[in-house]
Amino acid sequence: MTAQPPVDPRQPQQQAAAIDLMTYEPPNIQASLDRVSASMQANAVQSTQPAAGVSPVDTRRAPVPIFDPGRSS
Amino acid sequence: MPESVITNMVPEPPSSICTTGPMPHIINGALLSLIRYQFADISNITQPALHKYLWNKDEKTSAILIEPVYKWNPRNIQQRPAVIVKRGPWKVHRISIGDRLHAYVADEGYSEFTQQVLMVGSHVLFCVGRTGLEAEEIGTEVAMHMLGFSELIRQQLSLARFQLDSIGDVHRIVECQDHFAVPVTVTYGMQLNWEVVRQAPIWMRTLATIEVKE
Repeated sequence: MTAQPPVDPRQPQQQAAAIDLMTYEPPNIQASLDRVSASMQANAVQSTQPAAGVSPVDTRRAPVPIFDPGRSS
Repeated sequence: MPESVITNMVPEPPSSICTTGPMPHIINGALLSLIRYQFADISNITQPALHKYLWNKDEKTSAILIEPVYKWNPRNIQQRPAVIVKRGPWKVHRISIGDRLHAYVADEGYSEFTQQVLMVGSHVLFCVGRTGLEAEEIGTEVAMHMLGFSELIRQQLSLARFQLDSIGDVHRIVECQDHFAVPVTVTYGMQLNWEVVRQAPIWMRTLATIEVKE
């Protein structure tokens, strides 16, 4: 069994994949953007939730019937 | 043109960017300035191995090039490291029917309607070195800077989100085979609101439809 030569990290890495700076797009960038958007939407939904103990419906007003056959002549 | 930018409904100190909105070229310039200031002062550089790479305005004498990608020229880099800033894709996310800002009551008669969207985007910061390790060191330096100051950057740029997304693998550069690059990706998001305002009040439009009968 032969020992592997030590790797000098300051030497160029011949096996590194090549990229073009003008056309490079990070992998899974679309999923990352979707996650950012989802977290913003979740925050927006939470901010519209009523605070504890506060009813989102104004119960002081009685519901107004749209159609009341008893009053029609 | 957005009328205003809502930064996540949290009161924050005003920023000059409120007048323009965080547009793509403005985010580009802001990130470029941040990295230049980081490498302009030795006290901002955490890794001693990078202390020799101080940036200055003269690109011929600067020890490190920090430029937008459209100024990237492999001939200019010579034997220097670099940070190349490139804007990634921006996406519009719709969050309401017709993009309308519901539950908003305009208090004057000129407002036609108010709309909103979420905008998310990304930037890639290519950290370029002459060796793989040097690219890694510069990449780590830039990434930690973005991570550490992410909340401050978010506030100052009037963004709802700003975060370090990833530190990519070491890559060889196609146009410059003796240099290596580590892509550092940041993502961000904002809510854009705008209001469509008619030039004349409501009654002006009513007057235009009156017919005169003799």
